[in-house]
Amino acid sequence: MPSNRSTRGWKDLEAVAGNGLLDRRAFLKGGPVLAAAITGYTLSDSAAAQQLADDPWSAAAGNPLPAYGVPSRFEKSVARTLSNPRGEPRTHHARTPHHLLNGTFTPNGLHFVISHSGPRISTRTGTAW
Amino acid sequence: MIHGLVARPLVFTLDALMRYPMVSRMAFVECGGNSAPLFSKEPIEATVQAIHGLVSCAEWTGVMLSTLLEETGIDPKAKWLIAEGADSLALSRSVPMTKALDDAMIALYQNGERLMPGNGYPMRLLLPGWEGNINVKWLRRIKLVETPAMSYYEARTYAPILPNGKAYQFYFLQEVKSFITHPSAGLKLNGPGFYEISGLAYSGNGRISKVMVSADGGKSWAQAAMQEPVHAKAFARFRAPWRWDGGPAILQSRAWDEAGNVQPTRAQFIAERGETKTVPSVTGFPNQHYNGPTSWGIERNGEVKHVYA
Repeated sequence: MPSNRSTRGWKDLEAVAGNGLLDRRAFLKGGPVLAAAITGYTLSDSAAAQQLADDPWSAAAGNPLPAYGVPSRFEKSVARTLSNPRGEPRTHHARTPHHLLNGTFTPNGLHFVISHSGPRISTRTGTAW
Repeated sequence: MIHGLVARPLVFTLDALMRYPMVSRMAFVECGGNSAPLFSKEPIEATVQAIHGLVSCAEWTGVMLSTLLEETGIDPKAKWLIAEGADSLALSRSVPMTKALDDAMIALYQNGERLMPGNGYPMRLLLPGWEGNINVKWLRRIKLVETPAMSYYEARTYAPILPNGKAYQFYFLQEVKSFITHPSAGLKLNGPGFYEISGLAYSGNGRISKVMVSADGGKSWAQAAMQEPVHAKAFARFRAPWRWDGGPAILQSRAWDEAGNVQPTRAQFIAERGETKTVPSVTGFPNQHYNGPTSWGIERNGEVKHVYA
Protein backbone atom coordinates (compact mmCIF):
# COMPACT_ATOMS: atom_id res chain seq x y z
CA MET A 1 0.00 0.00 0.00
CA PRO A 2 1.26 3.47 -0.77
CA SER A 3 2.38 5.41 2.25
CA ASN A 4 1.61 9.03 2.97
CA ARG A 5 5.02 9.75 1.53
CA SER A 6 4.05 8.45 -1.89
CA THR A 7 0.68 10.16 -1.82
CA ARG A 8 2.45 13.44 -1.28
CA GLY A 9 4.59 12.61 -4.33
CA TRP A 10 1.61 11.89 -6.55
CA LYS A 11 -0.05 15.17 -5.75
CA ASP A 12 2.97 17.14 -6.93
CA LEU A 13 3.26 15.31 -10.24
CA GLU A 14 1.35 16.91 -13.05
CA ALA A 15 -0.56 14.71 -15.48
CA VAL A 16 -0.19 16.09 -19.02
CA ALA A 17 -2.09 13.53 -21.06
CA GLY A 18 -4.79 10.92 -20.65
CA ASN A 19 -4.49 7.73 -18.61
CA GLY A 20 -1.80 9.00 -16.28
CA LEU A 21 1.02 10.33 -18.45
CA LEU A 22 3.09 12.76 -16.38
CA ASP A 23 5.11 15.81 -17.34
CA ARG A 24 8.58 14.81 -18.54
CA ARG A 25 9.94 17.68 -16.44
CA ALA A 26 9.28 15.50 -13.42
CA PHE A 27 12.57 13.85 -14.39
CA LEU A 28 14.32 17.23 -14.18
CA LYS A 29 12.72 18.31 -10.94
CA GLY A 30 13.45 14.74 -10.12
CA GLY A 31 14.72 14.08 -6.69
CA PRO A 32 12.31 14.03 -3.82
CA VAL A 33 9.00 14.22 -5.65
CA LEU A 34 9.61 11.46 -8.16
CA ALA A 35 11.53 9.30 -5.73
CA ALA A 36 8.74 9.51 -3.19
CA ALA A 37 6.25 8.54 -5.84
CA ILE A 38 8.27 5.53 -6.91
CA THR A 39 9.49 4.17 -3.62
CA GLY A 40 6.10 4.54 -2.03
CA TYR A 41 4.92 1.76 -4.29
CA THR A 42 7.99 -0.42 -4.65
CA LEU A 43 9.30 -0.70 -1.08
CA SER A 44 7.19 -2.76 1.23
CA ASP A 45 9.31 -2.25 4.34
CA SER A 46 11.08 0.73 5.69
CA ALA A 47 14.85 0.24 5.52
CA ALA A 48 15.17 1.72 8.96
CA ALA A 49 13.40 -1.31 10.40
CA GLN A 50 16.02 -3.75 9.08
CA GLN A 51 19.65 -4.43 9.70
CA LEU A 52 21.83 -5.05 6.62
CA ALA A 53 23.12 -8.59 7.02
CA ASP A 54 26.12 -10.07 5.19
CA ASP A 55 25.06 -12.61 2.61
CA PRO A 56 27.44 -15.55 1.97
CA TRP A 57 28.91 -13.85 -1.14
CA SER A 58 29.90 -10.87 0.94
CA ALA A 59 31.91 -13.01 3.32
CA ALA A 60 34.27 -14.83 0.94
CA ALA A 61 36.68 -14.05 -1.90
CA GLY A 62 35.10 -13.75 -5.35
CA ASN A 63 35.71 -15.61 -8.61
CA PRO A 64 38.77 -15.10 -10.87
CA LEU A 65 38.29 -12.68 -13.76
CA PRO A 66 37.93 -14.09 -17.26
CA ALA A 67 40.33 -12.59 -19.83
CA TYR A 68 37.32 -11.51 -21.89
CA GLY A 69 34.40 -10.53 -19.70
CA VAL A 70 30.98 -12.06 -20.12
CA PRO A 71 27.64 -11.05 -18.56
CA SER A 72 26.54 -12.32 -15.17
CA ARG A 73 25.20 -15.88 -15.18
CA PHE A 74 21.92 -14.38 -13.97
CA GLU A 75 21.50 -12.67 -17.34
CA LYS A 76 21.41 -15.79 -19.52
CA SER A 77 17.96 -14.92 -20.82
CA VAL A 78 19.32 -11.74 -22.41
CA ALA A 79 20.08 -13.30 -25.76
CA ARG A 80 19.31 -13.05 -29.43
CA THR A 81 16.61 -15.27 -30.92
CA LEU A 82 17.91 -17.37 -33.82
CA SER A 83 15.95 -18.38 -36.91
CA ASN A 84 18.43 -21.06 -37.89
CA PRO A 85 20.22 -22.29 -34.76
CA ARG A 86 21.45 -25.54 -36.37
CA GLY A 87 23.12 -23.76 -39.25
CA GLU A 88 21.09 -25.32 -42.04
CA PRO A 89 22.00 -24.08 -45.53
CA ARG A 90 19.66 -21.08 -45.57
CA THR A 91 19.54 -17.55 -44.24
CA HIS A 92 20.29 -16.86 -40.57
CA HIS A 93 18.47 -14.21 -38.55
CA ALA A 94 19.54 -13.17 -35.03
CA ARG A 95 17.25 -10.61 -33.34
CA THR A 96 18.16 -8.08 -30.66
CA PRO A 97 16.25 -8.34 -27.31
CA HIS A 98 15.35 -4.64 -27.01
CA HIS A 99 12.95 -5.32 -24.12
CA LEU A 100 15.86 -6.60 -22.02
CA LEU A 101 18.29 -3.76 -22.80
CA ASN A 102 18.40 -0.08 -21.97
CA GLY A 103 20.39 2.92 -23.17
CA THR A 104 21.26 3.55 -26.81
CA PHE A 105 24.05 1.10 -27.72
CA THR A 106 23.61 -2.53 -28.65
CA PRO A 107 26.23 -4.82 -27.11
CA ASN A 108 28.24 -6.50 -29.85
CA GLY A 109 27.11 -10.00 -28.91
CA LEU A 110 23.47 -8.91 -29.17
CA HIS A 111 23.71 -6.89 -32.40
CA PHE A 112 21.24 -8.22 -34.93
CA VAL A 113 22.56 -10.25 -37.84
CA ILE A 114 21.11 -11.39 -41.10
CA SER A 115 23.51 -13.64 -42.92
CA HIS A 116 22.74 -15.41 -46.14
CA SER A 117 25.47 -18.01 -45.82
CA GLY A 118 27.16 -17.42 -42.48
CA PRO A 119 30.39 -15.60 -41.67
CA ARG A 120 33.54 -17.46 -42.58
CA ILE A 121 36.54 -15.30 -43.23
CA SER A 122 40.08 -15.74 -42.05
CA THR A 123 42.37 -12.74 -42.27
CA ARG A 124 45.34 -15.10 -42.07
CA THR A 125 44.53 -16.75 -45.36
CA GLY A 126 44.05 -13.26 -46.70
CA THR A 127 41.00 -11.34 -47.75
CA ALA A 128 41.04 -9.66 -51.09
CA TRP A 129 41.33 -6.22 -49.54
CA MET B 1 40.01 -3.58 -54.04
CA ILE B 2 38.64 -0.39 -55.58
CA HIS B 3 38.50 -0.43 -59.39
CA GLY B 4 36.30 0.45 -62.36
CA LEU B 5 35.89 4.13 -63.21
CA VAL B 6 38.87 5.32 -61.16
CA ALA B 7 42.17 6.91 -62.13
CA ARG B 8 44.23 4.29 -60.24
CA PRO B 9 42.73 0.91 -59.27
CA LEU B 10 44.13 0.02 -55.86
CA VAL B 11 44.24 -2.96 -53.53
CA PHE B 12 44.01 -2.04 -49.85
CA THR B 13 45.30 -4.73 -47.52
CA LEU B 14 43.89 -4.76 -44.02
CA ASP B 15 47.29 -3.62 -42.73
CA ALA B 16 47.29 -0.70 -45.17
CA LEU B 17 43.74 0.29 -44.18
CA MET B 18 44.76 0.36 -40.53
CA ARG B 19 47.24 3.14 -41.34
CA TYR B 20 44.67 5.52 -42.80
CA PRO B 21 43.06 8.23 -40.66
CA MET B 22 40.01 6.86 -38.90
CA VAL B 23 36.76 8.32 -37.63
CA SER B 24 34.17 7.06 -35.14
CA ARG B 25 30.43 7.61 -35.25
CA MET B 26 27.24 6.18 -33.80
CA ALA B 27 24.91 4.61 -36.32
CA PHE B 28 21.96 2.30 -36.25
CA VAL B 29 21.76 -0.47 -38.81
CA GLU B 30 18.29 -1.74 -39.63
CA CYS B 31 17.13 -4.51 -41.93
CA GLY B 32 14.70 -3.22 -44.55
CA GLY B 33 12.38 -6.00 -43.38
CA ASN B 34 12.47 -5.05 -39.70
CA SER B 35 9.00 -4.55 -38.18
CA ALA B 36 7.41 -6.47 -41.07
CA PRO B 37 4.92 -8.23 -38.70
CA LEU B 38 3.12 -4.86 -38.57
CA PHE B 39 2.00 -5.35 -42.17
CA SER B 40 -0.27 -8.11 -40.84
CA LYS B 41 -4.00 -7.33 -41.11
CA GLU B 42 -4.36 -8.35 -37.45
CA PRO B 43 -1.84 -7.78 -34.67
CA ILE B 44 0.58 -10.68 -34.26
CA GLU B 45 1.16 -11.48 -30.59
CA ALA B 46 4.92 -11.18 -30.24
CA THR B 47 7.66 -9.42 -28.27
CA VAL B 48 9.48 -6.29 -29.34
CA GLN B 49 12.41 -8.62 -30.11
CA ALA B 50 10.36 -10.61 -32.62
CA ILE B 51 8.79 -7.51 -34.15
CA HIS B 52 11.65 -4.98 -34.09
CA GLY B 53 14.72 -7.12 -33.37
CA LEU B 54 16.36 -6.53 -36.74
CA VAL B 55 17.74 -3.12 -35.82
CA SER B 56 20.70 -2.35 -33.56
CA CYS B 57 22.99 0.58 -32.86
CA ALA B 58 26.74 0.72 -32.34
CA GLU B 59 29.70 3.05 -32.46
CA TRP B 60 31.53 2.24 -35.67
CA THR B 61 35.17 3.16 -36.33
CA GLY B 62 36.91 2.97 -39.67
CA VAL B 63 38.17 4.80 -42.73
CA MET B 64 35.87 7.12 -44.65
CA LEU B 65 35.29 5.75 -48.15
CA SER B 66 35.86 9.29 -49.48
CA THR B 67 39.45 9.09 -48.13
CA LEU B 68 40.12 5.93 -50.15
CA LEU B 69 38.44 7.37 -53.24
CA GLU B 70 40.83 10.33 -53.05
CA GLU B 71 43.62 7.78 -53.37
CA THR B 72 42.12 6.06 -56.40
CA GLY B 73 40.73 9.18 -58.05
CA ILE B 74 37.22 9.20 -59.53
CA ASP B 75 36.36 9.22 -63.22
CA PRO B 76 33.60 11.85 -63.56
CA LYS B 77 31.51 9.27 -65.46
CA ALA B 78 31.16 7.24 -62.25
CA LYS B 79 27.64 7.70 -60.81
CA TRP B 80 27.34 4.46 -58.81
CA LEU B 81 29.57 1.94 -57.15
CA ILE B 82 28.97 -1.76 -56.69
CA ALA B 83 29.94 -3.10 -53.28
CA GLU B 84 30.58 -6.83 -53.13
CA GLY B 85 30.88 -9.09 -50.10
CA ALA B 86 33.09 -12.15 -49.71
CA ASP B 87 30.28 -14.44 -48.51
CA SER B 88 29.32 -17.41 -50.66
CA LEU B 89 26.69 -15.46 -52.61
CA ALA B 90 29.03 -12.47 -53.15
CA LEU B 91 26.21 -10.21 -51.96
CA SER B 92 26.33 -7.12 -54.15
CA ARG B 93 24.57 -3.78 -53.94
CA SER B 94 24.70 -0.59 -56.03
CA VAL B 95 25.36 2.63 -54.12
CA PRO B 96 25.01 6.15 -55.56
CA MET B 97 28.32 8.05 -55.55
CA THR B 98 26.63 10.90 -53.65
CA LYS B 99 26.24 8.61 -50.61
CA ALA B 100 29.72 7.15 -51.10
CA LEU B 101 31.22 10.63 -50.85
CA ASP B 102 28.91 11.80 -48.08
CA ASP B 103 29.15 9.59 -44.99
CA ALA B 104 30.12 6.08 -46.21
CA MET B 105 32.70 4.32 -44.07
CA ILE B 106 34.77 1.16 -44.32
CA ALA B 107 34.03 0.04 -40.77
CA LEU B 108 36.72 -1.96 -38.94
CA TYR B 109 35.65 -1.58 -35.30
CA GLN B 110 32.29 -1.97 -33.56
CA ASN B 111 31.83 -0.53 -30.07
CA GLY B 112 35.59 -0.32 -29.71
CA GLU B 113 36.54 -3.84 -30.74
CA ARG B 114 37.03 -5.37 -34.16
CA LEU B 115 33.79 -6.18 -35.98
CA MET B 116 31.94 -9.28 -34.86
CA PRO B 117 32.11 -12.10 -37.44
CA GLY B 118 28.37 -11.86 -38.06
CA ASN B 119 28.65 -8.12 -38.60
CA GLY B 120 31.21 -8.40 -41.38
CA TYR B 121 34.63 -9.14 -39.89
CA PRO B 122 37.13 -7.94 -40.88
CA MET B 123 35.39 -5.05 -42.65
CA ARG B 124 32.02 -3.88 -43.85
CA LEU B 125 30.57 -0.96 -45.73
CA LEU B 126 28.66 1.34 -43.40
CA LEU B 127 26.05 3.60 -45.01
CA PRO B 128 24.49 5.37 -42.02
CA GLY B 129 20.69 5.47 -42.11
CA TRP B 130 20.32 3.14 -45.08
CA GLU B 131 18.75 -0.31 -45.09
CA GLY B 132 20.89 -3.02 -43.53
CA ASN B 133 21.40 -5.15 -46.61
CA ILE B 134 23.30 -2.41 -48.46
CA ASN B 135 25.82 -2.10 -45.59
CA VAL B 136 27.75 -4.90 -47.30
CA LYS B 137 29.55 -7.21 -44.87
CA TRP B 138 32.82 -9.07 -45.44
CA LEU B 139 33.45 -6.38 -48.03
CA ARG B 140 36.04 -7.34 -50.64
CA ARG B 141 35.45 -5.20 -53.71
CA ILE B 142 34.14 -1.80 -54.78
CA LYS B 143 33.72 -1.07 -58.48
CA LEU B 144 32.82 2.40 -59.74
CA VAL B 145 30.35 2.28 -62.63
CA GLU B 146 27.95 4.44 -64.64
CA THR B 147 24.74 2.54 -63.92
CA PRO B 148 23.52 0.28 -61.10
CA ALA B 149 24.08 -3.47 -61.32
CA MET B 150 20.41 -4.40 -60.73
CA SER B 151 21.56 -7.15 -58.40
CA TYR B 152 19.25 -9.72 -56.78
CA TYR B 153 18.85 -7.74 -53.58
CA GLU B 154 17.95 -4.50 -55.33
CA ALA B 155 15.92 -5.85 -58.25
CA ARG B 156 13.93 -8.40 -56.29
CA THR B 157 14.08 -8.60 -52.50
CA TYR B 158 14.38 -4.97 -51.55
CA ALA B 159 12.04 -3.57 -54.18
CA PRO B 160 8.82 -3.42 -52.09
CA ILE B 161 5.59 -3.72 -54.04
CA LEU B 162 2.86 -1.12 -53.51
CA PRO B 163 -0.92 -1.72 -53.55
CA ASN B 164 -1.13 -0.28 -57.09
CA GLY B 165 1.24 -2.98 -58.35
CA LYS B 166 4.19 -0.65 -58.83
CA ALA B 167 7.32 -1.11 -56.75
CA TYR B 168 9.76 1.12 -55.01
CA GLN B 169 13.29 0.57 -56.24
CA PHE B 170 16.44 1.83 -54.56
CA TYR B 171 14.46 2.56 -51.40
CA PHE B 172 17.57 3.00 -49.32
CA LEU B 173 16.40 5.18 -46.47
CA GLN B 174 15.26 3.86 -43.10
CA GLU B 175 12.68 6.48 -42.22
CA VAL B 176 11.84 8.02 -38.86
CA LYS B 177 10.57 5.40 -36.41
CA SER B 178 10.12 4.69 -32.72
CA PHE B 179 8.83 1.92 -30.49
CA ILE B 180 8.38 1.47 -26.77
CA THR B 181 10.64 -1.17 -25.24
CA HIS B 182 9.51 -0.80 -21.58
CA PRO B 183 6.86 -1.87 -20.96
CA SER B 184 6.30 -4.15 -23.93
CA ALA B 185 4.86 -7.58 -24.67
CA GLY B 186 6.24 -10.19 -22.29
CA LEU B 187 7.12 -7.67 -19.55
CA LYS B 188 4.36 -7.79 -16.95
CA LEU B 189 3.46 -4.74 -14.87
CA ASN B 190 3.62 -5.47 -11.17
CA GLY B 191 0.59 -3.61 -9.89
CA PRO B 192 -0.57 -0.03 -10.29
CA GLY B 193 1.75 2.87 -9.62
CA PHE B 194 4.67 4.65 -11.16
CA TYR B 195 6.38 3.34 -14.30
CA GLU B 196 8.88 4.79 -16.69
CA ILE B 197 7.81 4.33 -20.29
CA SER B 198 10.98 4.06 -22.33
CA GLY B 199 11.85 3.30 -25.91
CA LEU B 200 14.00 3.87 -28.97
CA ALA B 201 13.65 6.39 -31.78
CA TYR B 202 15.84 6.84 -34.85
CA SER B 203 15.82 8.25 -38.35
CA GLY B 204 17.98 7.71 -41.42
CA ASN B 205 17.49 11.41 -42.11
CA GLY B 206 19.37 12.70 -39.07
CA ARG B 207 18.66 13.47 -35.43
CA ILE B 208 15.43 12.75 -33.60
CA SER B 209 13.93 16.08 -32.58
CA LYS B 210 10.90 14.97 -30.57
CA VAL B 211 9.02 11.90 -29.36
CA MET B 212 5.43 11.99 -28.14
CA VAL B 213 3.96 9.21 -26.02
CA SER B 214 0.31 8.24 -25.56
CA ALA B 215 -1.26 6.03 -22.89
CA ASP B 216 -4.78 6.11 -24.36
CA GLY B 217 -4.20 4.69 -27.83
CA GLY B 218 -3.34 8.00 -29.48
CA LYS B 219 -6.17 10.20 -28.18
CA SER B 220 -3.83 12.41 -26.14
CA TRP B 221 -0.07 12.80 -26.13
CA ALA B 222 2.71 13.87 -23.79
CA GLN B 223 6.20 14.85 -24.91
CA ALA B 224 8.88 12.41 -23.76
CA ALA B 225 12.26 13.38 -22.30
CA MET B 226 15.19 12.63 -24.64
CA GLN B 227 18.40 11.14 -23.34
CA GLU B 228 21.22 13.44 -24.40
CA PRO B 229 23.29 13.44 -26.48
CA VAL B 230 21.06 12.67 -29.46
CA HIS B 231 23.20 11.56 -32.39
CA ALA B 232 22.24 11.71 -36.07
CA LYS B 233 21.20 8.39 -37.62
CA ALA B 234 21.53 6.63 -34.26
CA PHE B 235 19.30 5.31 -31.49
CA ALA B 236 17.82 7.99 -29.26
CA ARG B 237 16.37 6.84 -25.93
CA PHE B 238 13.14 8.52 -24.84
CA ARG B 239 11.51 8.31 -21.44
CA ALA B 240 8.15 9.39 -20.07
CA PRO B 241 6.93 9.14 -16.46
CA TRP B 242 3.61 7.34 -16.14
CA ARG B 243 1.21 6.60 -13.34
CA TRP B 244 -0.73 3.48 -14.14
CA ASP B 245 -4.09 3.38 -12.37
CA GLY B 246 -4.54 -0.33 -13.01
CA GLY B 247 -7.08 0.08 -15.79
CA PRO B 248 -6.76 -0.77 -19.49
CA ALA B 249 -4.28 1.43 -21.35
CA ILE B 250 -2.73 1.47 -24.80
CA LEU B 251 0.82 2.78 -25.07
CA GLN B 252 2.16 4.27 -28.28
CA SER B 253 5.07 6.46 -29.33
CA ARG B 254 5.51 8.77 -32.30
CA ALA B 255 8.81 10.36 -33.39
CA TRP B 256 9.84 13.43 -35.38
CA ASP B 257 13.26 14.00 -36.95
CA GLU B 258 15.21 17.21 -37.49
CA ALA B 259 14.31 17.19 -41.18
CA GLY B 260 10.65 17.57 -40.13
CA ASN B 261 9.60 14.03 -40.97
CA VAL B 262 7.05 12.43 -38.67
CA GLN B 263 6.25 8.80 -38.10
CA PRO B 264 2.94 8.11 -39.89
CA THR B 265 -0.01 6.56 -38.07
CA ARG B 266 -0.55 2.91 -38.94
CA ALA B 267 -3.71 3.83 -40.87
CA GLN B 268 -1.81 6.39 -42.96
CA PHE B 269 1.00 3.95 -43.59
CA ILE B 270 -1.24 1.03 -44.54
CA ALA B 271 -3.30 3.22 -46.89
CA GLU B 272 -0.16 3.93 -48.85
CA ARG B 273 1.76 0.66 -48.57
CA GLY B 274 -0.95 -1.94 -48.04
CA GLU B 275 -1.32 -4.79 -45.56
CA THR B 276 -1.53 -8.56 -45.82
CA LYS B 277 -4.77 -10.37 -46.69
CA THR B 278 -4.02 -13.11 -44.17
CA VAL B 279 -1.98 -13.17 -40.97
CA PRO B 280 1.62 -14.02 -41.91
CA SER B 281 4.20 -15.80 -39.76
CA VAL B 282 5.95 -13.49 -37.31
CA THR B 283 9.23 -14.37 -39.02
CA GLY B 284 7.86 -13.83 -42.54
CA PHE B 285 8.63 -10.71 -44.53
CA PRO B 286 5.40 -9.75 -46.30
CA ASN B 287 6.81 -6.29 -47.08
CA GLN B 288 9.48 -3.81 -45.98
CA HIS B 289 10.22 -0.44 -44.43
CA TYR B 290 7.33 -0.30 -41.95
CA ASN B 291 7.79 2.84 -39.87
CA GLY B 292 4.37 3.36 -38.32
CA PRO B 293 3.76 3.09 -34.57
CA THR B 294 3.59 0.00 -32.36
CA SER B 295 0.81 -0.23 -29.77
CA TRP B 296 1.09 -2.11 -26.49
CA GLY B 297 -2.18 -2.88 -24.74
CA ILE B 298 -1.98 -3.01 -20.95
CA GLU B 299 -4.51 -5.37 -19.37
CA ARG B 300 -5.89 -5.11 -15.85
CA ASN B 301 -3.66 -7.96 -14.66
CA GLY B 302 -0.59 -6.07 -15.89
CA GLU B 303 0.03 -8.20 -18.96
CA VAL B 304 1.15 -6.41 -22.09
CA LYS B 305 -0.23 -7.41 -25.48
CA HIS B 306 0.55 -6.28 -29.00
CA VAL B 307 -2.56 -4.51 -30.35
CA TYR B 308 -3.55 -2.10 -33.11
CA ALA B 309 -4.95 1.30 -32.14
